[in-house]
Amino acid sequence: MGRYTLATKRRIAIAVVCIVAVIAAFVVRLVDIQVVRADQLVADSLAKTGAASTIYALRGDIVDTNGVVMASSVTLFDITVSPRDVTDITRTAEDGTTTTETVAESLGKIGAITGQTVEELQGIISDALAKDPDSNFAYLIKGVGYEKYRQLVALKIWWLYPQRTSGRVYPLGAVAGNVVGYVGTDHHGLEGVELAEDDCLTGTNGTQAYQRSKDGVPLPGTTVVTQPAKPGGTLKLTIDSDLNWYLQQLVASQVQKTGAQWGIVMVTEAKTGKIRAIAESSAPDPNAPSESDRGSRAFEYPFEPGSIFKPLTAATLIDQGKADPYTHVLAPYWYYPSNGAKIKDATPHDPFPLTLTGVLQQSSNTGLSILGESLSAETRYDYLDKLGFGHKTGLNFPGEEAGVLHPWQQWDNQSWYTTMFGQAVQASAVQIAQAYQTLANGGVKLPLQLTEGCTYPDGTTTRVPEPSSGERVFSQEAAQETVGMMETVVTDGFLADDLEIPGYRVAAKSGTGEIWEDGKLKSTFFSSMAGMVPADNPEYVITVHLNQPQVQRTSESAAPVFQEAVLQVAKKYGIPPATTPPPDYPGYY
Amino acid sequence: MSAYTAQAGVGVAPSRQPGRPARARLTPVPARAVAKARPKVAYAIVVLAGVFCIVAAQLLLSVGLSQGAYELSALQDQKTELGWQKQSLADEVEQISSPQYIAANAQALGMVIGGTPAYLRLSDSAIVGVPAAASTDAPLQLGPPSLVGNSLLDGVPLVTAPDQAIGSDGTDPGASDEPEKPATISLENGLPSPNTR
Repeated sequence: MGRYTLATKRRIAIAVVCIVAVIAAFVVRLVDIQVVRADQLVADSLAKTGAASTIYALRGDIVDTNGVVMASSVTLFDITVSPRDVTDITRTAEDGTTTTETVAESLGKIGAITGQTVEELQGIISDALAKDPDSNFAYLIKGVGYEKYRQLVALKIWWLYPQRTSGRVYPLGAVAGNVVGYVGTDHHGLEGVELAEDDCLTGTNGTQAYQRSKDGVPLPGTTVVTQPAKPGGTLKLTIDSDLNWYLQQLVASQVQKTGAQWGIVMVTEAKTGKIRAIAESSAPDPNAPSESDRGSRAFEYPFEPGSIFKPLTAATLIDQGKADPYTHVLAPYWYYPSNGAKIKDATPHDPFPLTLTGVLQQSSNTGLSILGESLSAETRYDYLDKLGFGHKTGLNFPGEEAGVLHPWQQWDNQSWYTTMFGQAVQASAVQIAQAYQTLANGGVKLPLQLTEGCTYPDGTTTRVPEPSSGERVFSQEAAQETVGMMETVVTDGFLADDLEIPGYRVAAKSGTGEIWEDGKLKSTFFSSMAGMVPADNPEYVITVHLNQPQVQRTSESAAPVFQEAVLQVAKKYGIPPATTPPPDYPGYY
Repeated sequence: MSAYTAQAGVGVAPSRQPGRPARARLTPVPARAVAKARPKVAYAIVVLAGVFCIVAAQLLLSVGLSQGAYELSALQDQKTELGWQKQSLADEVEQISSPQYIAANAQALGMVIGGTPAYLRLSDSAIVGVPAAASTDAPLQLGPPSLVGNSLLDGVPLVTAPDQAIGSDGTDPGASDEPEKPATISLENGLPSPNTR
């Protein structure tokens, strides 16, 4: 230091002081920005440049057992308008000439695409302006598809604003619409499996954050997925949509022909419990659900089934060792048991010398009542209880009814007998299918299945029904002999002409259930036909119900539907014609 | 350097001359110092040029990058649009694959539903089942395709009969004759017993 002059020293000192001062100023500012006001500034900057967006998770599809899409989610567009900005549009052509497009012309172009009239569109705009002269938002039309959206965008009308939204479409319309159900505006299920399996189908929206430039473009490398979206699972039903369609068409045709209120056809796999079809004539089109027909009547509408209950009583008799297909009974037209009940057959006749087979074949109430006396009420109740009557099926279908099976202690004298042939009990179509599945499967009741599982995009599958060995209700022999007896209904019964299918062995039982309304018996009936094919080794259970046909009021209106349904099942699943003769139990002695 | 060379050229050994302080001797600024100073300018130029290059490169890079961002954004939009288009077309395929549409097309061609199936067994040429021709006089005629509704197909022309569409025949499913009022049964003649088959 000694080398420098005083002047130099002073200069250096001043410079050092200046530098220190500047650095100190910077440090102060730095601390102020980085520490004191840091949070505020970061928040401000993020508000200006950062943006977050939702990653939408689509609701999962519903597919049938073959993977045919029955419900899927689509991107749709709401077309909105800014009413206060609706003005004529000046367009400049490529050659520089300008033309003016009037509002009416613009609306005409829009209407041509959306299918609305100019007056309608004008009405929407003027309504919005009437409410609020400064209105800048109104829906012109909601939920248009991509094709229309593209055409609308191509119109280049600047006061039109499309908004993205999502919708649900049901490509098969009313095919199994009663089972599929539909969703509400919040995209959650309101009916059917859309509601029952909402947890499977609903996805979880994710979020992503990014920094955007002044014009809204995400800056490269700044997008961060803060929460990944989890799309909904694909729900697979056991339903076969083609079969379901045909049966729906079939039962709806018969409903139309007979003036019935509605009808149901169900097809159930005997050896798995899988429901292959729940065809209802009144199935709603989920694309446009109506106010009246919403859920599934097969689950929601218990009825007194009538004589389709008789095979169950017959199987109970055989299982208890009280009878066999050859057991004799002399069936009168009227039967007056000692407890005071009065039982009669459908049509007057001289006393019939029937076997148990004949009782089913001719559907004799009196014959079954006489034979059934050997069973205690408790025993019969236990069998019906085990078959699932009075209980929900476990399918957890929305709105499902358990039906009515009163405890045997509450049976009065009349119902002590009528419960043998399906009166004074109420069962839903699904419960009937369950009981017949038990008969068809050698007496082993399997839990019914409507869904096969829920598969997520990452390959995981949940909600696969657990395999069940089922519950034995009847002995193998009792079930088999009952099915054999039911074959004679098709070959020798009074509806044989309507039921027989050349080359095939089919077992069936008719039912004409009485309907009580406000304590009065109606003159219309619940017409049913239930059975299985092939009878020698049942694979499929087919059940048909028609609610109050006006012409052909008895089970004869259900018989042709049953026959066509069995034929379709035989064709659909390639059931080979029978190679063995039926047991041919005698109906008379 | 030349100064020393010149000195040496005198032939006198380069020894310190007594009595004359070496410092007092005036010598020109050594050329070495000048030569040392010149590279400093070159360094400055190089450094400045380097800085300039880096700035320019970064500028170009960021222009390129942001151009890429726009391109990326445009392509992503295009991907979204194409996704919508694909979905829209797939939906259309699903709709026209629906059984109602296929059946309506088949019916427009005059096709009917087959009867009882029969099989030809190849091993022994046996006919299994009872073959019969399909006919239109089945006891239960199928109604119009509109019985099983599908609002997505409203107005969609049939492939086999472009002037027809499902539901265009104006049939109203379910609208049958006015159901007659069921008679009630009195209990005067004893309890009615089930009239069931």
